[in-house]
Order: sequence, then C-alpha cells, then structure tokens
Amino acid sequence: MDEYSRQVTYDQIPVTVVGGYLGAGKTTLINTILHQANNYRLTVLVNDFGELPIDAALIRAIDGNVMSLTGGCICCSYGNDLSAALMDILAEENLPDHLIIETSGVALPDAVANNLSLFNRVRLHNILVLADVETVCVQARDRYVGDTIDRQLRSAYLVLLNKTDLVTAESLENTQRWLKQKYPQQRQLQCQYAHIPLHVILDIHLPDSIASPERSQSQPIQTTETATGKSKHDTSVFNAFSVRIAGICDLAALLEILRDPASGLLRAKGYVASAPHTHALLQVVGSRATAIPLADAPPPDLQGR
Amino acid sequence: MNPAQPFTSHVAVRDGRIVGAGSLQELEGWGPYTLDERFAEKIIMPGLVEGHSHTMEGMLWRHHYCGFFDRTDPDGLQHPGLNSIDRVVEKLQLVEASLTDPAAPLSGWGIDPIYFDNRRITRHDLDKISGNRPIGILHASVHIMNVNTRALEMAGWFCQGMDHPGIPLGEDGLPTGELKGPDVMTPVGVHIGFSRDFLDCDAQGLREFSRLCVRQGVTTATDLASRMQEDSVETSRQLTAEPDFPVRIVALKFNHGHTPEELVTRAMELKQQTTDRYRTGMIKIVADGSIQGFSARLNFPGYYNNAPNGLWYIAPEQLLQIYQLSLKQQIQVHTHTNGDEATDLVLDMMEQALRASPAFDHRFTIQHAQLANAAQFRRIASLGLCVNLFANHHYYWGDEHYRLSVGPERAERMNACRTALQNNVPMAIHSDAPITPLGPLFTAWNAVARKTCSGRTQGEYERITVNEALHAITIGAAYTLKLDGEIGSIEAGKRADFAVLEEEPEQADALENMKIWGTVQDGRIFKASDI
Repeated sequence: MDEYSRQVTYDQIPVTVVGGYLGAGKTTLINTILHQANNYRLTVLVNDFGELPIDAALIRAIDGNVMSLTGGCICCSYGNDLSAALMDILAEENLPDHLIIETSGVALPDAVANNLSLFNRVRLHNILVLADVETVCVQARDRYVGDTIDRQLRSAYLVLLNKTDLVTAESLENTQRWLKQKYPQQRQLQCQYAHIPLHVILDIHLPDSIASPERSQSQPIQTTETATGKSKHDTSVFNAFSVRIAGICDLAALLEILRDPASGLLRAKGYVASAPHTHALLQVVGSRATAIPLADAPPPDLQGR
Repeated sequence: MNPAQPFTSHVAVRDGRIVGAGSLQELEGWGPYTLDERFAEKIIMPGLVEGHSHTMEGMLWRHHYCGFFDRTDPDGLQHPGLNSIDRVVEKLQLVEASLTDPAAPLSGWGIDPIYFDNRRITRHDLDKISGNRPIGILHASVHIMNVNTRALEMAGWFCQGMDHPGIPLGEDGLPTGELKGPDVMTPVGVHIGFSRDFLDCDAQGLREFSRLCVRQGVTTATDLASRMQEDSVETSRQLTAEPDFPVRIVALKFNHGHTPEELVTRAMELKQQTTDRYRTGMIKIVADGSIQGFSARLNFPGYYNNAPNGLWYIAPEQLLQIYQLSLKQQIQVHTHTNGDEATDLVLDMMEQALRASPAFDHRFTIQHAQLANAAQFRRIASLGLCVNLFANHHYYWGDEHYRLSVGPERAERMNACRTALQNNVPMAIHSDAPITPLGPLFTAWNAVARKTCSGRTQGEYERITVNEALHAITIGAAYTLKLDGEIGSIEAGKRADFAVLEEEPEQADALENMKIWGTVQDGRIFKASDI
C-alpha cells in the first residue's frame, strides 16, 4: 500500500461529499476509502450504519452513533441531523485530516455541500456522485426520482460510473455518451466495485511512487506557452504525472485549460507563481479548477509543481 | 358516536371501563351503584382522539408565545395574539426587562410572517429588544427561525460572504437574521435557547402536553414522529403509568436515520413494550415536505408560482421495502405526504407491497394527503388505506394556498373530506400540534366551515356535516390507530374515555369556541381548571 503524505497548508478540513442514488455503490466506496486510509485520519459521516460492511477487524469500538476504527478513522451516523454531527466533530480535540459525507440516495449533494459553508473550519473539496452504469439512464427518466438524479449528476465535480463489469463495452459507451451530452462539463470516471485510488477523490498529494521525478516532464514551461498535459484516459489505469512550471504563470489561461473537459484531467494540485513574489495553490477536482492565493511562498521544492 | 344509540342520559363506569350506556332504569340492572351527578348539566361525548400531534408542544411553551392568533397554554392561560411585528417586539421588550441574567437568551415561538403581509422580520426588529442578549423566535412551521445580531455573532455568521440559501442577506450583504431550515437553525438555535434536540420531548414536556389535552377534551393523542430512543421510551412508559396521568399516548417511530430492516425490527421490539397508556409499535414515514414551504412533491402543473418541485425524503425502493416488511410483520405504518406526487408514490408502492405481502385490514394511513384528488381517493379506498386530513390548514394557510402555492382551483379541493367520505375512505382530521393548536373541536369546525382566517369559504363542495366531523375526531381517528374497539364511542365494554363539554356540540358555531369542562380518561376524572 502506498504511503500518503499528510495534509499540508491551510487548516480548513477538506470535505468530500459522496452522493448518488440507491445502489450506485456509495457504501462500497466508503468501505474502499476506509480500507485505503493508512496513516490518514478520516472521519466519515454516513446516513445510517445499516449496510456498511466494515471489516470487524477494523472496528475498535462502537459508542452510540460513532464507530471508531483502527488507525484513527471514525465513522459516524448522522441520521437526520448533519449540522449537529458536524458541530460535534469540530468540537473534538483531534480533528480529522479529511471529512467524507455520504448523503442519502435522494439527497441533493449540492444542498449538503452548501451547508459546509456554514462552518469556517471546513471547506468543500469534492462532490462525487456515483452512478450505477447499468441503471442510471433508466433511473434518470423515472417519473418520481428522475429530476432528483438529474440534479445530483449536475452538481457533481466528478461522476463515478460504477459497476462497469456488469455491462458490455457498447452499453458502457452509450451511457458515457449520454452523460457527456447531458452534462458536458462533468468529468467522468469508470470503476468497478467503487474501486478508486484515494488521491483522485481526496485532497492529498500524489504518492511519491506515482509522481516521481523520473516520470515528470522536465522542460520548464514559459508563461506564453500553454501547458499541454493531456493525460491518456485508460479505463482501468490512470496516467499521472507531474509538471514543473518555471517562472511566472498566466493563471487565467492555465485555469481555462484545466477546466476544459477535453483535457480529461481529473485531479491536479500544485503551486504556481502568478506574479513576482505571489504564489497560488491550484486545485483541480473533476470539473472544478480553482486558484487560491497564498499568503506565504510554498517550500522551494514544491514551487512551480 | 354509537349509531344505534346516538344520545343517552347515563353511563355506568367501573374500573375504567364502560359497563353500559342508557337510561338510569336500564343501567340499574347492573347492580349497586353510586350516582355521580356532577355532569348533569353538561354534555358527555366520547373522549376526543387526536390522530396527528407531537408531544413537543409541551416543550414549546417554555419559550414565549408570539403568534398571530390567541392560544391557550397548558396552565389554561390564554395568550393574546400579536398582530404586528411591533406588537411582538413590545411583548418581548417587556419580557426582556424582567430578566435578571444579562447573558441569558430570550426565545419566542409561533410567528408566521404571512400574517404580516409577508413583511419579513429582520435582526433589526429583534435588536430593538436587546443588543447584548441573544434573541430568537421560532416560526409556527418549526422550520424557520428569526434571530438578532447578537445571536448571529455568537454563531460566527455575522459577516460578509455568507452563502447559503437558508440565510437570506440584506442589502448590506449581511444576514437578515432569518434562518430557513434545520441545517442553519441547529448551529444558531443553541445560542438562543433551543437545544439541538428541541423537537424531542422530555418528561416535563410530556406532562405539559397532557395538561393541554385535558383542556381540549383529548383522551388519546399521538406523538407522531418520535425518535423513541430507549431511555426516553422508558421514561414515557413510567410517566404515563402514573395514576394521575390523564391521557393515552400513541407513539410512532420515525423512520429517519434507519434502514428499512432496522426500522421494522425496532418497531417490532417497541410493540412488545406497549402499555395501556403508552402504545408503541407503529411506524411513521415522511415522504415529502410542505406545500406552503414549497418542499412538497407535486404532479403537473406543479406550484402555482412556478417554484421548482420539492424534496423527497425517502426513495421509492426504501418506501416499498418498509411497506413490505411491515405488512409481513403486522406493523402499522403512517406516511406523511403533502403533495399529490408524493401521494401517488405511496399508492404505487403500497400496491406493489400488497401484491407481495397481502394483508387484510392493514389500515396503513396517509397523513395530510392535502392535495389528493378524487382518482387518488378511489385508489386509497381500493388499497384499504385510511387518511388523516389536515382540516386546520385552510384556516391558517388557506389564503396562502389560494394566492401563491397551488392556486384557486386546487386550494378549493385541499384536504378533501367530502371526497374521502364519498369514496368510503376511513377518515380522520387533525391539528398536527404544535404546527396548529391542539383542539379537535376547532379542527372539526374547520372541516365543516372551511373558512380561511380572512373569512372566505374555501371549497364549498368539500365541507362536511357536524356529525361527520365529530365522527372523524372520535371513532374515525381511533380507527386509524386500530383503537376503535376500545375508544371512540360510548358503548358497553369500551374505555371510560369522555370529553365533558359545557354546550351541545351539534351546532357548527358551538364548535368554534367550545367550552370544555375537562375529561374522563380510563374512568378517572380530570377537571381542566384543576389540572
């Protein structure tokens, strides 16, 4: 298992909202995340413990609606009251590195994400919406829940098309095409059994084994050039690489490239210099690309990466 | 309420049960008796059954009542309605002046801006009461709150850049102090004296609620969406068993936060714990929101003002699963639906569930069903469902529905009691206290008169007779709770549960402001003025 470096920089706890209709695989994803957690202190908020198939070996203790897991992770069921659960978590002495909120099958992830703005100790990092590739097209036309599913998909930063093992290649392509047509700005990712590497969905640095110096392009990029980091999009393997940008970068231009769905970019994080002595932290999470001005310069080895 | 014997002169009671009802001569045959004549000049009718209420009303009276309408508290004190924001501020200023602790919060409840021509209350209004003390008022809907600047500061929200649909901003870019929805109310509520669990009810609250029941002639009332955690269930069982606890409580387990299997399993456990005055083992599901809050799920043509469709609180599959498991395990389920789309979902899922788990006499009940149309009532009848209609709604929100939420035509057919009866759907009517005040006779009047608070009659066709309305608040409601064999009419063998009235209830006008002496519950006598 890879080791992930601990969260650097700002003290707001990043939050990933996990949404999607019943049966899309949210619970499996939560389980996958917890199994990959390693040194990461994750707190997961779930609607109910119900079908969460957590390995008994991982569970240290259960106290009411809070399940403590080995390695410092916590799983908490919030029932009806998300605000209260958040208040409780933020009142604790030991804060998590990352918070994951699993919403109910009919919940609107963007409404849940909105609630995060009420707490200045947390910030929204990602809205992941899972879709069962076998059924999503039909469900989106359901007379009762069709508009709810539409809103869920529309609000996603990243759509995870799950259970691709259950459909033919042609069917998969059709579904992908339908999604692209309806939601052209969305980034899609395919998976089976909700198996996704953590660094794609959480706010953590790429493991060194993936983003190693030998694999990075070493040419410095000038301000007037456009970065051409198109990643090849393989269904089962991600291309990951790191890029060094020397000198001052035209943030607006860079952001435009990063936001273009054609780039196939799913996740990126790095530091650039946007002006002399001015640095910004770039985050790309699915369809969202943001640049946050930094008060202090990042460590020299991270500058321009 | 016994069709075979609609009126009689005497009732014989022993050990909390009715031995018989009839003339003195007919009853003397039972043996030695003592004649109690204290009710000789009064009217005894079956104890009123409130089929949709929340015991939390007993808790709310700890806060200061700020509503538009007069309302009576558990002590019997009538609090006059406040007809403008200025009046509300004046009242709270008086309260504020009497407070000794400068840091203590000040909390009110019961307001609704629609009665102020929708002029929204802001923090500036509440700041007039105090700049140092955190102040807040809960709306009648229990879904919105207004707070002052100090409360916002304490929550850390008095700043630019707040970006949430539940926090409206003023022209200055700062929150107005109105907070919409539980997600934004919870973090601020704690600062103004509303605990996070303010929808729950503690022992003292349950006692206060029972006193309200006596004043309103209610002998059986529901607590229709309780979390029913183990310790609170135990407390309630003990409290209701006390010799002077005056009402039977029927508590339903709320579905939120549970998987279908967990929910039904818990309900089965609770069924084993049921006692005479604390009946447990039923389930309550909430499918959608409210019409006046624009969170109900509507079919075409949707909201009159083109607001987007509302929110689902449960998925179809989950609803189906709960129904199926419950039918199989003989657990009764009540489902809240306000919009007609939500009602359709319940009907579709019930149909499927019944095909898989056929059950006779399940009496699953749709609560509110405010917008159900004739076709839906026909399906309700064929599926063996009951309805409990929100007859109070046209009084309190009728004009709103007419003008804004559903438009004239559908407003006229909301809470369609006549259509329900015509289609032989077993029917009850309710207050949903504290959303509207507990008072089944007033609810009955609403079903008969269908007057909005501005005086218009809304939906002449759906009006029912006094007799039909009285039926709905006694045996009709009892039927939806499967208690019609024990309560709801005055007949031999049933519980000695009576409402004692000062006047005849047969006239519609009498129902609006009926004077109630008190109740008899399980044969024990409770005078309202002594309670």
